[in-house]
Amino acid sequence: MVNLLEINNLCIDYDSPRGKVKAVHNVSFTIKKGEIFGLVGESGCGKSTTAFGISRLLRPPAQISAGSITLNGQELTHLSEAEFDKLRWSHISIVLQSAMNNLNPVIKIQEQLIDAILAHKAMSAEEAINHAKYLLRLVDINEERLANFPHELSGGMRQRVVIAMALALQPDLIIMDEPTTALDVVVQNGIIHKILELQKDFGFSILFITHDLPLMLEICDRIGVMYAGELVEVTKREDLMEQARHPYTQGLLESFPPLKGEKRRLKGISGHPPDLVTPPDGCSFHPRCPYAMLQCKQKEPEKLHDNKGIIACHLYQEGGHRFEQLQTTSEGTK
Amino acid sequence: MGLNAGYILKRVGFALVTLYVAITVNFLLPRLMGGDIADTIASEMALGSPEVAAALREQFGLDNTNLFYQYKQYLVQLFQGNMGVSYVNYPAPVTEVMLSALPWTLGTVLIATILSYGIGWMIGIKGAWKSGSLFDNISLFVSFFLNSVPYFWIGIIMIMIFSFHLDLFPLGKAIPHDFDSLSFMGKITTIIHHAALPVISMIIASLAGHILVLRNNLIRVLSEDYMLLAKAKGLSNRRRKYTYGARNALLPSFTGLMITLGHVIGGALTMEIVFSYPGVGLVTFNAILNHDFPLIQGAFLFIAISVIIANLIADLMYPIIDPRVALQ
Repeated sequence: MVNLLEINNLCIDYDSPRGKVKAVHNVSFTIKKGEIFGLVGESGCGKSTTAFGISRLLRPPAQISAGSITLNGQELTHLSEAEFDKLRWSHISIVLQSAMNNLNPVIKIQEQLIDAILAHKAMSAEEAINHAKYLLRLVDINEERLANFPHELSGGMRQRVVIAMALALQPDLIIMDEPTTALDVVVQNGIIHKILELQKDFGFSILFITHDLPLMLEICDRIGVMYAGELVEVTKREDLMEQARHPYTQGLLESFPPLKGEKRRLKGISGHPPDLVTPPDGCSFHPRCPYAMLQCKQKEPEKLHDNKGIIACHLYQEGGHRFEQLQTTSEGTK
Repeated sequence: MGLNAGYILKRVGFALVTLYVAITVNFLLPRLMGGDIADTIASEMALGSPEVAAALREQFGLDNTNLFYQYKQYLVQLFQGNMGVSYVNYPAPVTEVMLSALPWTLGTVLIATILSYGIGWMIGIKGAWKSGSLFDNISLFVSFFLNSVPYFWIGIIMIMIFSFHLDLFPLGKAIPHDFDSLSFMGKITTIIHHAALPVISMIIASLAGHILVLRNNLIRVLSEDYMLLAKAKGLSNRRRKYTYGARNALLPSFTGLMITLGHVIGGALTMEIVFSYPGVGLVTFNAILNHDFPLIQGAFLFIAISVIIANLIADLMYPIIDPRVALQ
């Protein structure tokens, strides 16, 4: 499959009174056309910041300090605001947390759906309204709801409207930042299935962000694990279900109860994520890592690419205990 | 959805009940003060003559001491637009005194209120949209300064500079002595000339609060998810700023505007004193100083009615501005 989005060595910093906060540090990954790529990690690990960096929604003082982002081969970081505005929604759209605040409370659903269309396409108001009706049908909402205000809809319906809105211009990439977090499990299930169904029909790619690893295992093709602003592991879903490689990913998996199999005591990960102004030397996970070695405290682990994905951990570096588990083939992966 | 019949009926009904209560309280209050107004007036102007006192009592409708009879008479006369005769401006009826002061008050206080909110909102929106900018910092600094300066001081300083030293504006009053001899355009010009300083001083004194409230509300609104989504949608700056942002931030300020409008009829006493301006505030103030009870009662009633009407208008307009209200 062709790469839709390529991110190379992306760094996002923001200035704070205590110094530079490295919210995202040297993150590289790709998303293929039609792929669902998941980013997972604890709160504050930089997953949303990465997404906002891609969609240029960072609020000052946060800013991209280095790296490149290409979409369909076009470099995004060099674009002017006006040039980027043309890409917005027609190529990259976004679905935010399903809390009450995704839709403007004083504007009717119809106007909020069509203003995105009219901002990018020369279309008569009537055509836009017809398109809005079609969009609502896609997410199984009665088109009469166009005349409603957001508060007249349930939380699940509102999130469906936001998803319909994201589809309005048939974008290549939809960024979904915890789209189901504030919904109850049943509604969440319905929304996730709707997303998967639409993704199959339209073939857009999804950057799916959540801290819910089991949910991610259910829907994503590949999963990137972020810790303290760094991408520590990228793995295919099947490989992750079989065996997580990074000790942090293992810890995350052990923090959730298994759906099948024997009951086991949940372990969790001891300690707290590090301060991003003064991250620890070496591997940023070493203070919490059960396998921490001397070199983990001294040297930042390299990001190794093999045919399973990316792994940044000293256990897998040359001379590490699990070096032989690295499966590098000539074709390489990226 | 906006307005629905049930909501309108409920609001209008509530306003009518409030109005009735206000009228009744206005009837009872002077009677609770005790003493006999007729005696007081007679002692002041007729050496306490019992005949004069009796005549006054009859004129005031106090000869029948039955409270319910008086209440009935009061309501009947009120509905005929008769609020009694002003004592200080004898024999001018209260209605006439109030109506002659009303245009001056509306012309200055109403215009100043609307302009002050409008200008304050525009500055607040501009500041919040680029918070931390030079414009924002200057407007914040000036706002905090103005907010801590009493109105009378601003008025006096303006008279001193613009009227006394620079001689650009009159020292006070609403019209010059030779008003009647002026042409129509001349009358308009001189009215505006006289009203300029009062209006500008009132705007300056009240501007700061409107700037600060709107700025803070808009900054809060700008951090909402729907603003981020509007940006991600690639909507124009203008649309995000006004339709998505300011529209939401205005809701609390709109309530403030309607409350202030209700009080406009009460006049701006300090302004009217500083500029010797013949508005409702000064009329009420003089009525109180001179124990002119019919006029006090009339003024209070005017104020009560205008506050109730302004609140009713606000209630009826609010569902259009904020669709979440009508359903509650």
